[in-house]
Amino acid sequence: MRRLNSDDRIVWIRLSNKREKKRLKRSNPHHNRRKSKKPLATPPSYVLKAPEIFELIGGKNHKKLLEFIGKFRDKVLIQKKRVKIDFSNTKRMVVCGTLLFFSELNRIERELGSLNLVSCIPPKDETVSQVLKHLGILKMLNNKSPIIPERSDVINWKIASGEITDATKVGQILEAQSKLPKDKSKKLYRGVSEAMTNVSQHAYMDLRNDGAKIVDDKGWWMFCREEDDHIFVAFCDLGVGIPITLPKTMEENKEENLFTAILQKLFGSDKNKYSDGELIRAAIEIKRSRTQKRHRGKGLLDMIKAIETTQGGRLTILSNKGGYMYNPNETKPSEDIKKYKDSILGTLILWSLPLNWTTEVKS
Amino acid sequence: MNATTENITTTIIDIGKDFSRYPAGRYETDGPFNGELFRAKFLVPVLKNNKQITIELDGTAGYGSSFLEEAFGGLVRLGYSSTQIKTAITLHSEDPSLLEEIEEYILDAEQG
Repeated sequence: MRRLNSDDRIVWIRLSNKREKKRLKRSNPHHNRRKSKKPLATPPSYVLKAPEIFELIGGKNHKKLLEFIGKFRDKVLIQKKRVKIDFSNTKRMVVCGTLLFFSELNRIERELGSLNLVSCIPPKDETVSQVLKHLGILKMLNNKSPIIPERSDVINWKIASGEITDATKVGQILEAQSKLPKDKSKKLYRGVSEAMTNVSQHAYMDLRNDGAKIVDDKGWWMFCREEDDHIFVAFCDLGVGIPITLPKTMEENKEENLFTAILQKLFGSDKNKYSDGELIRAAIEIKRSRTQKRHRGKGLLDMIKAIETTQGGRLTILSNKGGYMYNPNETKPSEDIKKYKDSILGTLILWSLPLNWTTEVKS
Repeated sequence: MNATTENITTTIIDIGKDFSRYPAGRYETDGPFNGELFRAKFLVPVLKNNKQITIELDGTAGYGSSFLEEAFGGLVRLGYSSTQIKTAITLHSEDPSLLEEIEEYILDAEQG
């Protein structure tokens, strides 16, 4: 063994001291590396109060729900902030409003990969809790509520969704509705499958006006709910909306003259700006017009066909800031147009059919 | 399925069984059971080969107008006349309005 000279000895002692310091550092419970293993403090969530009623037809409910959805989308999808939805005051979930919220959640989840940024305070209302659990919304919002959906008016909500025109699940749901006669089921299938085709062909022709700039936006969502005396079928897409797609498709098909003529016939010649509701109404009238090229299909007329012979049936089309309601009556069908302050940023179609088939309207 | 009467063989196509119980959409880009595909798979070969076919329409969950128009009206846009189509294709349904609707698509397509 070689003897160390004095220089070697100094180097050796320094090295030993260094090693000892490192050993002590490692065994110290307050060592930095241990500190770094501690989870980072989670930034506080922005608490967002959910509306009392998830509904879209009435003006006040429409406004409150859209404000809530808009804030939620802005915080989570655009700003990537943590959000806690407070459902404690929510007392009613209506098909159309719930479907829009469900569709938005799904779209945001698909875009972000997960909804890890979102949590929730569950509802106090038992039925609302069961609805949110049954639809999978509580799970999406990372809530492990042990509640079991068992109410008959909750478990009869059925869901279908997709990105293309594949109506298999929709057809299966409609055919499984025990109180729905076959001919009515076929008419509803006609309406929904045509709505789906519209989604494939037009709904996502441009960027949605929500600032998210999602290039490959797509998808449709459907709810079906059978009650004692009514069946509700709702279909939603989060595309650019009929008031945007209609003028574009008319222009593409070189049918601007027909478009202008119908708008003038319906709403007068002195207007230079039409409301979204008026544009939805015009879209239906264009489909009724014999002068339109027939191979374009009947589209929106198929949606009316689903309820047009049923007394008490109702079709509602909401698109962007507009609403159109059609009621077949014994004497003359009634049509209403609604103008809302806020946009649903998409299209939602709702069919409501009574399940007592005593009165048929002559077509 | 084939039905033979006096040496004339007619193929019977049941859309619900042979194609899909859930037809929907116009073009192949729309979805899996669209009108364009149905036309190409079942109707065009019959017209090309001067055969005859009976289409059973009732075994499905329903039809959207886009599917029907593309399947039947689309034959006219491929160059077949309404007479050729009616000779080659017999439609069967318990719903007369469905038969009328398809006929209307064929005649409208012929008028342009």
